[in-house]
Amino acid sequence: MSIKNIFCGYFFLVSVFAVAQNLAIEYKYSIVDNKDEYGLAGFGYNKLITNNKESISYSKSIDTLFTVDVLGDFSQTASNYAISEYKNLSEKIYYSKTLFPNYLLKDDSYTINWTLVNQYKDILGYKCQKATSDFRGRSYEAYFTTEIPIRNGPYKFDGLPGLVLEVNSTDGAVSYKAVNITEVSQQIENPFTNLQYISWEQFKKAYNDYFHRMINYMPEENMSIIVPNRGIEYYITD
Amino acid sequence: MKKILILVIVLLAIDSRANNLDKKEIELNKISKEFFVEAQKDFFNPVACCTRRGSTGTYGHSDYNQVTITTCETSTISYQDAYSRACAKAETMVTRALQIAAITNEPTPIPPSSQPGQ
Repeated sequence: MSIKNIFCGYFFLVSVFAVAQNLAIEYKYSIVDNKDEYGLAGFGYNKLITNNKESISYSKSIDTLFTVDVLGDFSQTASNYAISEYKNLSEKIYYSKTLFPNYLLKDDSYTINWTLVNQYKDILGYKCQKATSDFRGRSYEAYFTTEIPIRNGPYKFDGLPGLVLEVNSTDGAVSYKAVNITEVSQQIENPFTNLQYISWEQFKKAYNDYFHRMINYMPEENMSIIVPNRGIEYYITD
Repeated sequence: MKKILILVIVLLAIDSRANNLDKKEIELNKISKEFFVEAQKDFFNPVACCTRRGSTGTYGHSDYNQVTITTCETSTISYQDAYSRACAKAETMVTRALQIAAITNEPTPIPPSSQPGQ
């Protein structure tokens, strides 16, 4: 083997490791909240591209037909991955779109106080420890691995001393489970900078106004309209 | 005398029971007549309800918008006609209702001075 080939191989390896510095974690997720008629249901995948400082997430739905007690029949069609959220882990800020087209969410108040539990299980070959917490209306059990020391996870489920690979709400409504982890060269930057921001409290107030306007909207007799009063988090608590 | 008294009491009891039966019969007739009128109405002007659901955004996230609309329609033609009209209306209303979020009460944005780095 010539010295030239050795140098080429060396520079190739260096360049690969220099670029492939982010992790892509694909989660299968579901939300089936049928406690009452103001719940919601859906299935999809979430792809988290992350390093220690920031992350960006993409979500897509899958083709499926299903029936849920209380809520009725659902049909959803598959979509491509679309950007759903960005997190600045250093400043602990979560950015995303809202259903109000003119406003973006800037949530800097979502810190979750986890309690570590001495229970472990294996997920995708990683030893994961259990942690529990209550967060905005639901109780959760999460599994994280210190073998990947990135304090991140799907949605707002971060702040543990390792990557979160599974999260389930104890009411059975919310579930995220990692199905694939790869290294990627994709760079991360905040795509949510082109509109005005609202805080979590402002979003909840706006959603509360929207919810009451919708359920009282009666364009004609013999018609009823229902919109959810919660998502993963509870928006309306009264 | 005692026997006559017992006979009168028995006859009165039978008469009272007969009266009650007459009243019940009248009530039953009334109910069946109302039922028949309703059935006739349902048969000639059937009512059908239909539910349609639409959604946008990522399930459970702050951009998720889901609307479920149920409409009921009466038809002078058939139940199928009522049902298809109810479904068509529900479908149209779902599309419109999903757009209401765009014109809902707009929230007060965070003042620019509190948006570090942006």
